[in-house]
Amino acid sequence: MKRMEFVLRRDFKEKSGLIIVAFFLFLTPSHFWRIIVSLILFSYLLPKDVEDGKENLLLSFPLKRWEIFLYDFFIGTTILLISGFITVGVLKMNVTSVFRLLLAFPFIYGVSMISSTAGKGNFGIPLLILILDMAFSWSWWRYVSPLYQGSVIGAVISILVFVLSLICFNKEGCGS
Amino acid sequence: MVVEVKNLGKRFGSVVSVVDVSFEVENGIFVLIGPNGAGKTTTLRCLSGEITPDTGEINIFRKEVKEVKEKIAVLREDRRVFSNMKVKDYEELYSLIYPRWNPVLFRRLVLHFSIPGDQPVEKFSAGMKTLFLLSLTISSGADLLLLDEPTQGLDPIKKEEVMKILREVGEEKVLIVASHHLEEIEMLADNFAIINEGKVVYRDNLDAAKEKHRIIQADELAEEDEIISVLENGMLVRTEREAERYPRFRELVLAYIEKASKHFSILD
Repeated sequence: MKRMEFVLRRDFKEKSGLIIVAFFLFLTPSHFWRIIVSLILFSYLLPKDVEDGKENLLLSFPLKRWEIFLYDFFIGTTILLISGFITVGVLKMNVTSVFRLLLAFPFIYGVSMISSTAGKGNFGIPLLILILDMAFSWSWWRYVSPLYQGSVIGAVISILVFVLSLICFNKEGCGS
Repeated sequence: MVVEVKNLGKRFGSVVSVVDVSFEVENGIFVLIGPNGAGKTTTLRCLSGEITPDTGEINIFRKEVKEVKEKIAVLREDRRVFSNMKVKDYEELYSLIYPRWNPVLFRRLVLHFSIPGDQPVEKFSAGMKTLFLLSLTISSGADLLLLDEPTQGLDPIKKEEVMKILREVGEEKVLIVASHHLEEIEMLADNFAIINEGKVVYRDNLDAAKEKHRIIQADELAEEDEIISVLENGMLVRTEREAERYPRFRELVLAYIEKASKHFSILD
């Protein structure tokens, strides 16, 4: 737990502005908008550190790669879920919308991690992928879309991308 | 054995950083010496578990690095720090992650070095960052300290102070120091390894190394002498016999690096 607290405290000290902004922006009840806000938050957690070469600073502490990866995901997810459940409680939104987003988070975080681990940036390419996925969600694609979550296949893809990104980060790069 | 490194190798893409590094550290202060780009920092990064070696084996306290990370504290060469954090924030972080964190020692060091508590650490000067990060590393309570260029950016007086503190710390803990400042290393090291182009070209105890070598003139060369390198003021040979004079540490290191280096001249 202390290792997790270490990562959490460090995130809240270094990225407090981003966390607060993402928390409030996530209150807006639009699925597409919330996907974009999720990307903003997740891509500026560990993927941004990887992009800046700062993950090595974290790794020089008694922390393992998978710990940093999972703790940052947990922190991002918790912040957005709290914000999401506020909209359920206050704005009487359907709780299903929050759970659909919860299943999309691993994909968003995973894509950003893979992109930054491969040296392609933490935000630009993931944003393009997310927009393309959402743009095709009017068609049959919605049943496999990891963002729209129209069927269980979307959830499976989301988790697979997440696991792949964890493997890439653990191996110090997708190519090695 | 506290640290055992066997045939360590690491490359970054097409760039080979470390080819064949082996050494053991039992106690005291062990120094990795070598020119810029020799592979010292990469070796320390492998030892800290920050990166995984491609080849070779590292055992620390007879275990794999990932199993003993809590016993290792690192002073990184790049002196990167977290943003928006002051001394107190760092103290809280270190006390969370290092089970044997020593707050009393840390406060003594902060006071001694006059480290400002009211400024964000990223605004510190290069020398102040070194002193601050060194204070954290020493106070971590870790048994093995990996220090990359621990006097980088310090004025001569602070350098002396740091060397004295490190000698004291080295009596209780194991220190592995990477540096290319030969005079400082001579004051600090119990044992050392010379690294050049990713390979250990010589390793020994500081006093034993001097005893095994002599500086002689060309006409004094005997059949049993092994020529290491020709220096400006004579040649360094490895020999058992009594000859002209013992080498200075600087001469010893430069001779081994010269021997292992590709020769370069602007006239070539």
